Amino acid sequence: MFAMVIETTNPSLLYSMPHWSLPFWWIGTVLILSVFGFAGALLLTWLKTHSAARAFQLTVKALFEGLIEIVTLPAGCSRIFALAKLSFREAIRRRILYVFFLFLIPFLFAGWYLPNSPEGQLRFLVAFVNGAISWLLIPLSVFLVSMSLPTDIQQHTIYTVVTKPVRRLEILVGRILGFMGIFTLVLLIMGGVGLIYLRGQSDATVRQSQWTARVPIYATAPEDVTTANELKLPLMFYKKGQLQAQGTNVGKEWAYRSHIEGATSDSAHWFFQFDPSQFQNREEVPVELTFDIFKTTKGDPTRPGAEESGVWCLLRFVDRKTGETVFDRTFRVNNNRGNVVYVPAKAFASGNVEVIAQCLTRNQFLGMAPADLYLLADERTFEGNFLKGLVTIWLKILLLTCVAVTASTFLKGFVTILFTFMVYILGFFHDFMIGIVTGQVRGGGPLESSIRLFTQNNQVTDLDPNFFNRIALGVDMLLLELMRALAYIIPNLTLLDTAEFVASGFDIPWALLLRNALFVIGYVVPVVIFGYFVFKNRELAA
Amino acid sequence: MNSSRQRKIAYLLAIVVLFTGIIGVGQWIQWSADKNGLAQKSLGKVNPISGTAQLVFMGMRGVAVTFLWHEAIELKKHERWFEIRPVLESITLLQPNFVNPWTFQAWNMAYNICAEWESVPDKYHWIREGIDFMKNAVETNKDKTDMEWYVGWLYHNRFGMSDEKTFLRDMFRNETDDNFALAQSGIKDNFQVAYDWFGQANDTIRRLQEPPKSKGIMPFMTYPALAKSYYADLMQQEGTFGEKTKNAWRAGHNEWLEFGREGGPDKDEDLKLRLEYSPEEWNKLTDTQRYWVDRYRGVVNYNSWKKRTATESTDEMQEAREAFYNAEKDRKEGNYKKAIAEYEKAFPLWRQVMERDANMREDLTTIEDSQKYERNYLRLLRLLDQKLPATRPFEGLFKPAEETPIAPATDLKRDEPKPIEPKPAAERAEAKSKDAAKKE
Amino acid sequence: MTTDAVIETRNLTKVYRDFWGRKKVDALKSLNLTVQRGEIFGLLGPNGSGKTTSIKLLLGLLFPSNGEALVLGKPASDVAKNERIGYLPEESYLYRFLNAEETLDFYGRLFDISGKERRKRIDSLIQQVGLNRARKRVLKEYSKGMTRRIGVAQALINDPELILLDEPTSGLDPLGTREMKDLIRSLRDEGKTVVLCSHLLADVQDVCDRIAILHQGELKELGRVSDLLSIQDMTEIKVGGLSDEAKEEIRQVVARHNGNLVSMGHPSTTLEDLFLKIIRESEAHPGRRYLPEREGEQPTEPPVSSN
Repeated sequence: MFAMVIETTNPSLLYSMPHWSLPFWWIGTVLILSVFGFAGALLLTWLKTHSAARAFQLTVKALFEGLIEIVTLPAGCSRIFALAKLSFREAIRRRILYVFFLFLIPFLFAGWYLPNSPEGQLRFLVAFVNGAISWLLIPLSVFLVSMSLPTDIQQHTIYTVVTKPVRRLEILVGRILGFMGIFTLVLLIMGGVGLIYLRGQSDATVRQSQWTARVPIYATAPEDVTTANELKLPLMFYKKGQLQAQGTNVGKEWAYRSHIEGATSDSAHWFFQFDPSQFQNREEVPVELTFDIFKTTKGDPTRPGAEESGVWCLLRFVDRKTGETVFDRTFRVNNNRGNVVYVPAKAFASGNVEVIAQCLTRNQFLGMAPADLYLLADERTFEGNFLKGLVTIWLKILLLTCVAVTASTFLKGFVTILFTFMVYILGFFHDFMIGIVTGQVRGGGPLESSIRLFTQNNQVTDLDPNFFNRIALGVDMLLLELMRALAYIIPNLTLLDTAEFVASGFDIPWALLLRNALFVIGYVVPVVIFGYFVFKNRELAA
Repeated sequence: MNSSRQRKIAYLLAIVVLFTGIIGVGQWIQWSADKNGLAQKSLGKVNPISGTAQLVFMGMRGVAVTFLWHEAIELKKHERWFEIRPVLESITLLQPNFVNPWTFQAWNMAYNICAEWESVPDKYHWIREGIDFMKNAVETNKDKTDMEWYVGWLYHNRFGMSDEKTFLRDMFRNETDDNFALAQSGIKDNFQVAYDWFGQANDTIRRLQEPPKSKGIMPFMTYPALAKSYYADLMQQEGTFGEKTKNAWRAGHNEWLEFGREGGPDKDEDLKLRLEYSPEEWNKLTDTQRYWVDRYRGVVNYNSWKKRTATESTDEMQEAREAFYNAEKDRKEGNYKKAIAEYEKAFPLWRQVMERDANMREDLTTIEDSQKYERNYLRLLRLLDQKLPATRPFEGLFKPAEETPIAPATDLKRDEPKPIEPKPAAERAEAKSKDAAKKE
Repeated sequence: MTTDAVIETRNLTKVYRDFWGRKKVDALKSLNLTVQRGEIFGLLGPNGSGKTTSIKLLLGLLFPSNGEALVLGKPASDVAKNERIGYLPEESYLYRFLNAEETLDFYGRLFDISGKERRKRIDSLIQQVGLNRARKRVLKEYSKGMTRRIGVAQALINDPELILLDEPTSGLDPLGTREMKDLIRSLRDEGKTVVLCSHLLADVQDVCDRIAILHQGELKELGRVSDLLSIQDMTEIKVGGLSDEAKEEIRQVVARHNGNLVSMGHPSTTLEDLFLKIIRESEAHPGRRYLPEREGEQPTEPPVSSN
């Protein structure tokens, strides 16, 4: 089994750099948010001072001072360094490195669960190591960071710090840097141990097939070909005499793959555009594919050879510049098993190739998704890829650290912990939340769904329009609006999961790492600035 | 100052009272669990990890299990077969003594996931995963007859009765793991291993004197006999004949007789019936009891199996079977003349057996097989332009469907004896104490 | 508004409010103060009188509800002023997992002091406060007195112009108190301004040049210590080497003027007496500035109504 499941119509996007307009969108969003923030601050000050003019004056002044402090932040680098060192030292002296021994405990038991199939082994081990790291490091970081600033305020140690020429932003940034320093250290140690463990646990067959980081070239949507309804897609299906976005639906619950019928003119077309020079010095290029087969008849299961029957597939490579078939191959496809076709490199000389798949066995179907067929451009080391995977965990911790630091500027320690965990957990249900507020997830708002739960009402019929239900629906509308706001503020943490790449033996694209880094930085900067304004304008003494 | 001291004393008292209360309740729970056989140690092997996992989740066990079930369903939906097993292990670690998680998921692997695979080695792998999973269940749970039976069922049904059974059984015979494939009889065969497990389940039932939960006691207890019979049947289908097969059939026959003589345990004396009685014993039975014996025989198809196992082990039958097997084989390989000779050798033997045994004559599979052989033989003759016999080989042997008398609806009711009315518990206890008094 | 004013407060007011914005406490009511360069200024008052609140307002740890505070000519909320300020909090709120050197190094870095200079200052300060033998021990293990000393050292790490000391002698033994007072005087001699607040009156009596007495958030008395503590209608004469005749003569003079000679000279009351008197007066007439009956002398600051 080769291909990784990528549930998008255009997997090659994972490998493309972010669009140039991204920073502008970001700036625009931040500006809009700033306007809201300013209005909120103005309102609060007005309520406090009872004078609109004075409130305006104060808020503008605070804004101005704040902006100057943000711009001149680099001038305080030695102070930031001192504060970072302090946090680092605090963590060390509080013996947080001992959690590392906690980290080792689960490794004693992992062997009990190890699947005995080689395909599952590495996937399980990687999930396990990643899980052990995340599940220890993330709560640890949330606890440590959340308690830090509130403890300083509660124990008044902050007095001796803020009465020095320290900008408040420096206190926040220094803290973040210091904690990130210690987390990086712990992450690296854990990652190292995890990698050694992975190597030791996975057996020879695993290391032969999975211990790698494939660099695939996925199909991309062509400019000159569209489906019958004008869609440009990397994979199109030829059915009923025209190109379509979907093939035949064989009624599987998971509609990831679309099927083509055997012994008909139905076919699947992938379009590849790439730089052909990368294959110049190669004899042949492996094309890996993982198709699903769907059988409508079993045939005689006792006939000789029936144990490995499968379904026959014809693969044709067409040079789109000349229109000629440059290579073809017929082979047998089996369920949940991958195939490799070694194609002579000269077939890819034009860098513009269409791959056509047809099912040859009558009454049987072949199923495919865009990411199911790719050219194997390169293979990199598993170890490097594992490190890249750690970067993602690091980014996640950075995000949570910043959220916790910001929250701790206005919340008490334990409330900060709860708050940050809430952000973390909701972050994983981001898609679900969006689904609820956009109505894609059935069941309605919180009140409606609890009514349905208790009255065992199904999700499809409308609620009985009685008085209480109407009130509940009305309240729900309000709650849903709140949720909508929340859903768009909470970071989508499911984006920050690259363990799948490592486990499937696929190289984590640099473009994806860059996107993730931009996502986290783009999220974290406004959050920390918000925290800074709160921290700057709060009294630290009671 | 004073009030704070009072408060502290009050807290202390409350702590002491609650603590003693909790200890008391805990003791009581422990005691009643022991009494009802629910205490962990009386349920089977205690897994240290399971204990730890349960401790970690404490009151959240239900939540964690719900989450894991959801995860398992999602994994199956997304066809991520390899990741399911660890999730299932986690579920059963948290709920080691529930029957359904084990059976449901074993079935899931051995049937549903197995069906998602195309090649036989893959299918074999998943059946094995399901069986291993179920074996863990038996190890963790003591005296769960249904679980023991289920292990046997997976060996019996998945390897021996699926479409790919020829290949699967072949792989099974070549299995290197004796723990998995070697039966107590020393034979590497799925039915033999299944027989061991069914037997174990029956032993447990007899020891505990408790009926199984998943099905009626009679059908449940026939499985050792069924496994032995199918073993012999499959030997024939795979082309082994002669003394070995005859012995297998005899073993099956004995198994049925033994089961018939022993019957199943039932707490109710009136229902403690067997299927096999000597004529004197039979005469002593009341009408009601005879009705139930008859009914049970019907449910498990006792008479038919008993007769078939006896018939199959005869020399004529073996010869006929072997000749038909060879004939079919030769026909498929194109040795038509040889095939015709084999058919002609088999027909009289077969007819002889059939004429002797009315039970075989009414068996639908036998009828189907006979018609198939007859048809194939006649086709070969036509193909080779040979003269067709004046009468078909089995002419007049089997009753055509329209000749079978259809009993009028009223007839069915006429002889039906009254089933035993369930007596109220009190009355029953009274009767029993009377019996006891009589004995003294 | 003299150019030499180091601290200046105008109508400085602090009201503590609860979560709902309701008034809880008037911690400080319209404080007007000026502290001159080079003096030792004492803020005195019982617990809860507003002295610590004043210090926190001056440091920008609290924001005034009304009025304003200028420190070294800059608003209290301006971080830049901290460059020239040293602050010793009520209890030494320091990081207990650091040792003496690390503590001073940390605070030194916050002032952006260069490495060489920093090491020099750390050495001399540790010598000065007498912690040389404990410089490598973490603060967790320090006694109260030692903690106080390291607190002083961190307040002086930047060689400040203005030093704010919150209860500098609390928790110190008599010897420690003596040393602290010597240190305060020596700081003044170096030309630094010291503002201290305390409720230990005997301790500050002999170091402060000027004091302000606060009670219930109001300024009750302000002036030079020597002025405040002298009793105007009494005369104290201490003369050495006087003959018996001369003494008799003086006695007669006194008798002639209907005097009753106790001893000769202006005796001092103790600060404690003054303090208790002010408190009693203040509780009898809340909201009024204490006005001693002094002939021909005006209080240094005009009384301010505290509405």
